[in-house]
Amino acid sequence: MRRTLLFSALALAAPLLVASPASAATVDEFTIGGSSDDLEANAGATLTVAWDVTPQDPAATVVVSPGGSAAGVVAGWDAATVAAATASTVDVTIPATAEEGDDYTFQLLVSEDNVPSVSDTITVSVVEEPVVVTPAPVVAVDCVLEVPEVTGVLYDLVYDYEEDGAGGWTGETEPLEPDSYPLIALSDGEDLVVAATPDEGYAFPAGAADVFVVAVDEACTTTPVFVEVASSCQAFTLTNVVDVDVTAFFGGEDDEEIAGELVLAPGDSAEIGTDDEIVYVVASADLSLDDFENGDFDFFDIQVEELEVDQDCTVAGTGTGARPPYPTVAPAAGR
Amino acid sequence: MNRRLLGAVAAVVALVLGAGALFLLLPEREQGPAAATATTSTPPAPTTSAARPLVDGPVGVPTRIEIADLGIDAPVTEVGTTPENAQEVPSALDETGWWRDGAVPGAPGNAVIVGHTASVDEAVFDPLVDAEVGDEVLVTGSEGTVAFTVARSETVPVADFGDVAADVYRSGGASGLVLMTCGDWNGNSFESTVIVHAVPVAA
Repeated sequence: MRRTLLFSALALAAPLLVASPASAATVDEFTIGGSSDDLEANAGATLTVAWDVTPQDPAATVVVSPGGSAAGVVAGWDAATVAAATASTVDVTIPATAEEGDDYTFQLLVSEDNVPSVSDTITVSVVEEPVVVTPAPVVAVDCVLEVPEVTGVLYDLVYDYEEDGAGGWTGETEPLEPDSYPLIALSDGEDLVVAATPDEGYAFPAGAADVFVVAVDEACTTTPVFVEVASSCQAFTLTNVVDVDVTAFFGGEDDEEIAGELVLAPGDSAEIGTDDEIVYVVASADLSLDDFENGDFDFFDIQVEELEVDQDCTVAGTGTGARPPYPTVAPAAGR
Repeated sequence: MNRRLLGAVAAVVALVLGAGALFLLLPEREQGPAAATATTSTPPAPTTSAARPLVDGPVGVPTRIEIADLGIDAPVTEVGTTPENAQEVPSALDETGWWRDGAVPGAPGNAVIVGHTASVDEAVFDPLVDAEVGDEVLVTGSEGTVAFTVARSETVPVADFGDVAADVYRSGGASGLVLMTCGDWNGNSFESTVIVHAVPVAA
């Protein structure tokens, strides 16, 4: 008996359950800026909100109103404007005072004969507007590369580069701070490629040049030769090849200061032992350690060499018998 | 080239040639002599043998050397032999280097300690050339402190060092201490080695 009553009650209620949703309008479209996805906008930006509502009963009274956190906050997304929209679109303006990270949600509330329905929610997130800046070109004047200081522009030296076939370049990059750089310090004769990228919050205008190829004249990378450098087993040899005394400074790749210096008369050679695999040598005809360390020299007056020294080899014997079990060479205890 | 440009070049040379090239262009020598100067200009109060107990014998691996008469008070590090068969020297100007393949101070044979002399700035053994007979040298190791007294000093041309090397690095016999540094700066290089011989003071 009780089961029969239950089914009877359901039978009576069924038409009612179906009838309620049937009277709600359908929001077929709800977009901002032409998209139903969440989006980003700058403070003060004007966006177009559009919707398309289909009533179940063409004769029914349909009322639309704004919803979401933007309602009454974002200009244009208010009850009066939305209700009066004849073309189902309104322009809304994000507050000029909005800040990065502020979110505004938009939702369309629809009522058909007092039966409500709602659209999906679209969130507009406020982002800072990037400042458009044009990168100034990087040029070389008198063998010196001039990297300009332009707010919002970052410059990188591209090395080990090659053209990508599409007008661009690929390679390794290192930041290049705004400054003046002798080409000889940057190039071994190859042209330089400097790429510009916008800093955070900045953007380049469409089509702006952002890669600068700087031609390097051979004369800008030619340095004098004072010594011949030869590498051997755990040592290297410097030979003075000019007709004046030559001062040479040297050090390993891990050294933070000069490891040694020597003066070579014309034609003289010196073999220097080292446990460094990479050794740098600077030679000059008249350069003191003081001047060198104080930067009081011209790059075009010095010879800079980088050489690899084999450390995996075994030093050959002298052929004159076993070496004494103690040092026989004066320690290099002078700086 | 001005310093602003040099600084930029230093960074870029390091970029192009590798980080090691920085040594070439360090105008301030920030981690070298400057640090040494800071240390050696304010040495701890000189210590004499009367201020502490001394041992009569090996003191183990040395860690500190003091010569109050010369204002020297410096750490001792272990050094070996370079490929060209010279005793290594510490990279820091304010440190000394004990030849680890020789005798420990206080043991039979000579313990040999080297230190830099600087043509510019200051280095730990700058005053060594002024050592006089009778100056006291204290060497501290893991087993205690042993006292030596300067017995003689000599200045040997670099090219002739091999002639005295066996005497310097004597591996047996009476205990001794040898201190070495460079001497006779000619404006471009050091022409000699200053060698100071010291003998133990009975504890």
